[in-house]
Amino acid sequence: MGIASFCVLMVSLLLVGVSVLFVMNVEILLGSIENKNEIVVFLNYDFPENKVNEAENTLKSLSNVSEVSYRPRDEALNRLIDQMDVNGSVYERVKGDNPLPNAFNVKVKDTSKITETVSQLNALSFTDDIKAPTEFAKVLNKLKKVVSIVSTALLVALITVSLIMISNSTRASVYSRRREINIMKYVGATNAFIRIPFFFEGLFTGLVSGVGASAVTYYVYTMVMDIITNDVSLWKTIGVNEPLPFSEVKYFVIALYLCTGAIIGAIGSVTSTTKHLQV
Amino acid sequence: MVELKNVSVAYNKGHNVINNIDMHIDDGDFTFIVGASGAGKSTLIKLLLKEIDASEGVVMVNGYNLRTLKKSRIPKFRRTIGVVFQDFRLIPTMTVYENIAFVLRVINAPRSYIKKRVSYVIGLVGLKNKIKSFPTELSGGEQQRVALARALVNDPKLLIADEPTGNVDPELSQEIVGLLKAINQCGTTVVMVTHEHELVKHFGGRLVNINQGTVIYDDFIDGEAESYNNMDDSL
Repeated sequence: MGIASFCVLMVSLLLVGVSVLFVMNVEILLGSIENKNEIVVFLNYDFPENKVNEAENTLKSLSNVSEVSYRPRDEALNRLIDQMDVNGSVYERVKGDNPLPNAFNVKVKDTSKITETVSQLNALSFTDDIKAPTEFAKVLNKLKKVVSIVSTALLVALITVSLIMISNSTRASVYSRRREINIMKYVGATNAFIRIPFFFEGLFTGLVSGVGASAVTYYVYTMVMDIITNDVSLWKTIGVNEPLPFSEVKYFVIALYLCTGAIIGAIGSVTSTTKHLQV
Repeated sequence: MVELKNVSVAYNKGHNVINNIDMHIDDGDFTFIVGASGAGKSTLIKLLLKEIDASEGVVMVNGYNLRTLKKSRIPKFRRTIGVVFQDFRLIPTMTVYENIAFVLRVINAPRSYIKKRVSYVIGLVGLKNKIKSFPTELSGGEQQRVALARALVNDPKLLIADEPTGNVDPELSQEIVGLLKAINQCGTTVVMVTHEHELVKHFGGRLVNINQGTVIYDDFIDGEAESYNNMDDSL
């Protein structure tokens, strides 16, 4: 295996690695959108304040509920006034006789079960009304499924293509050694004996390509992140988490490159010897 | 020992390249196999090396029944055979020493044994002064002698030489067959395929003539050579 195999393998690894990083960032993006997916449970207007803790515990006991926070009616009114900005002063007059109900903000663990959870919340005695983003949750779940399927298919396709590419590029180097393989077969070498040097050669090329791909990814990813995270307020405005910094994924990326490189290199190199072993 | 009973080989249905051959070669025999191009000589060699399988019949080589021999056992079987080819098949990137030594490395022989054995067989073929040379630095005759040393290094029971003189001039041809004869005198069974009838006449011995996949002659003939043993005193 020579420089050509090294380059082919490194490019293949970069394709795999960039795809994985892209998918990871998309998942983070979807996760932060999902986190904003809150259900508001409005309590009956005359629900006594001293029973709020009891109600909170009831909500927390539901299997799909991850977080519950109480939102008293005064807080809700203040927030409404803030949100309305200048026009909010109109509501200042109703402060003494606040018409808004007390409420709980409820976060769910799994948005795909949000309809089921809404039904459970509706059945509770203290619930007056519910505001739940069920349609949005449905779209989000569909999107997550699509991302999951597309990313899996992309990875399988990239790894398969990498295997074929590396197998082809090593075929030339194996072809130049076909005479050696042929003679080895005639003098009684086992297939394993013949394949071992090719296996280690492929493994080594894979590891070196992995190191190369890690370095390239580090520089390119860091550069891209510097550009897109330059304006922190952008992410706050959009309301989603910032993309993953390289420091958080470096061990994963390096391990991914080294393992994938070693496996693809070794398998690709060994399979290209098969044709010449039929003596 | 080589034994072929009612052996036929057909590459295409209906056309036998080897046609119902019976042949018995005892341990220690020297056998010339001659025949025109396309007579089936190469197919016979491939058969003896288990490179191909017989369509019919039984092929026994060095105690192995090649028709029932499992793929996993082929390497062990081939270690009992030495092969010399017309085109030498030396590895150009290896020195003479390495070309011979790698046969023993294949069977995981100890390093000290490899060194001793390789030096011995290089001496047998008279190439001690070329031990560090590469094949491209050698003449055709020298290359064939390296190939011969490689075939011998594993101390095979049977040595198969497929047109070993095909790429060397007539004088060197006699030298190579002389070496093979001397090797045979040490107890190794030798099967040599050739189309050079003059060589056979010169050395004599058992002659098997194949034509269109069938044995048409199988008998001993007298040779003209006085003694091939004198060709290399080291043997």
